Parts: sequence; structure tokens; C-alpha cells
Amino acid sequence: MSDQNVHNIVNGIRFIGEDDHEELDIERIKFIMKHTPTPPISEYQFQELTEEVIITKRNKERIGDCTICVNEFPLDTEAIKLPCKHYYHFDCITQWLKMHSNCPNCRTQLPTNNSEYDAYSRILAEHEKKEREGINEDEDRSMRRQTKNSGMFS
Amino acid sequence: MNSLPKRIIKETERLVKEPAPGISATPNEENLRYFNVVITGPVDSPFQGNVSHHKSGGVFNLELFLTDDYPMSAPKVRFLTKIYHPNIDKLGRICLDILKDKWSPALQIRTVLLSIQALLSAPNPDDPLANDVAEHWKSNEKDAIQTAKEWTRLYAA
Repeated sequence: MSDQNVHNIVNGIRFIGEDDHEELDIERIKFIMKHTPTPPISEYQFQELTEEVIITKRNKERIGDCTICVNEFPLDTEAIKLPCKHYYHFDCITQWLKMHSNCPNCRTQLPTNNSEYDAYSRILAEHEKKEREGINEDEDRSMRRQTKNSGMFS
Repeated sequence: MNSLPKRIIKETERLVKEPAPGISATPNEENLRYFNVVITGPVDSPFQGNVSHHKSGGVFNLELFLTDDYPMSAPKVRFLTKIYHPNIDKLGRICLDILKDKWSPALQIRTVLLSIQALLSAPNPDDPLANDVAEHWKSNEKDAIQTAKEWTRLYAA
């Protein structure tokens, strides 16, 4: 699927999202995502997003062990740091990211080689964020409605 | 035999030395990737043993196997003891997200077994594997729990 198509789909969903169909579309995306294995991260993204950190006496204890192989990071070697600040051996994390695109420790989703998947992830993340802030928003809305119906300004 | 990854050796040592409460995992002598697992039914669940009768019920045997690509893929786990639970089918297969798409190599044998123990305390009939059991659970929870207790008494002794 081309990026333009994905763009249209995403915009379409956002447009539909303005009215009562929002819940239905979110449920559909949740269902699709539940049954889609995470695609791998792209090599380009891996290079862009990760950082190589040299293990020193100062940072060794804070960094701890690699949770994939449960071995330590020897002094003066490099550890790979993901954007979520979790550290792994290069071989360990690249093996995982060949088949997946999230951090083993905190499941933070990284951009994948599949733009459609990424678009759906973003929609779900936004939806969850909205849901968390939802209570406040609903209160706002009902306040506004009350103000409108009370005819205070008429 | 292929050399065993250090991670599996470390995990095994810790499982044997500091077992989690109600859980034991013993590696098979001939295949160190195959474990005999025993989980005790959690207290206040229909899978708990009869407290007043010493040694009666509530002991579930499972098998656990670490495939060659472990920890990149989840351990394979199955109940060997018959159990009446909406997320465990007749063959002992377990419906648990971390054993499937939610697996992460930061999880371990210990965390998997603790999650299975927690699943015994909190059956989830809305995401069933054994449909008939889930239906029973949803339509008459009290009766389903009674059956689960009965099965525990009959098979998990």
C-alpha cells in the first residue's frame, strides 16, 4: 500500500472520528492490530533512533544487565540505547528487532518498515491518550452545553 | 547435546535455588530445555487444595519447553493435569497473551509461571479458549466454579 493511500485512510478515519462512528472505527483498528504481528523496525530507523553508549565505571551500575541474555555489559564495550532509555547488547536487540519493533522492557513501539501499521499505532495511542484525559474533556463539554442551554448570553 | 545458552542455565539455577511460592520447575535430566512444572492452585480460587485435608487437590502438573529460539520466542507451556478453566482447553493449551503476541524476551520462565498462577486466580471468560467452559462461566458463574472445584478434587490430587 502506498503512503498516499495510508494517508487517505488515516485522514478518512480522523474525519469519521468527528461524529458518532468513532468508537466503531477504533474497535476495528484494535481488532486488526491485535491480530497483526508487529513488523520489524527498518534498518534506517534503527540507525537513526538508537545510540551507542560506552560502558564505563560510572554508568555500569545504572545501566544494569542486558535483559535479553541476562549477561552484564563488560567495561569499555558498547551498549545500544533505545529512545526509551533501555540498554541491550547489539546482537541481542538486533535479533529481536528483526521480527518485532518494540522495546522488550517497556514495549514502547518504534517506527516499523510498514507505514500502515505505524499509522494505526498512532491512532490507537492518540485514542488511549484521549481516553485518559477523557473525563476532563467530558466535563468541559457538559459545562459548555449547560452554559449554552441556560441562555446566559441570549 | 548443543551447548545451553547462559541465560537458560542462570534461569534454571535461580528457579531451583529460589523457587516462587507455589511454583516448582525442574529441568529434565536428559533435556535441559524441558521442565516438569508444578503449580499449586492459589488460595481462594476454585483450584486451591482442600486446606483441611492434607495432600488433597490443588496440585497441577505442566510441561514447559524452551525452543531453540528462546528467548526470542515464548516458552511452550501446557497443563498436563485436567483443569476446568475458560482459558485452558481440553489439551491443556493456555490462552495467555504473553505466551503469544505479547511475548517479550525481557520476560522469563519465572514470570511466565507467575502469570499462569495469576490466571488461575482470575479466569477471563471474555477471552476464552474453552468455549463451553466460558459459556458456563458467563451464564452461571457459581455453578461453573463448583465444577472447577470438583475437577480440582478429582484430577489435581
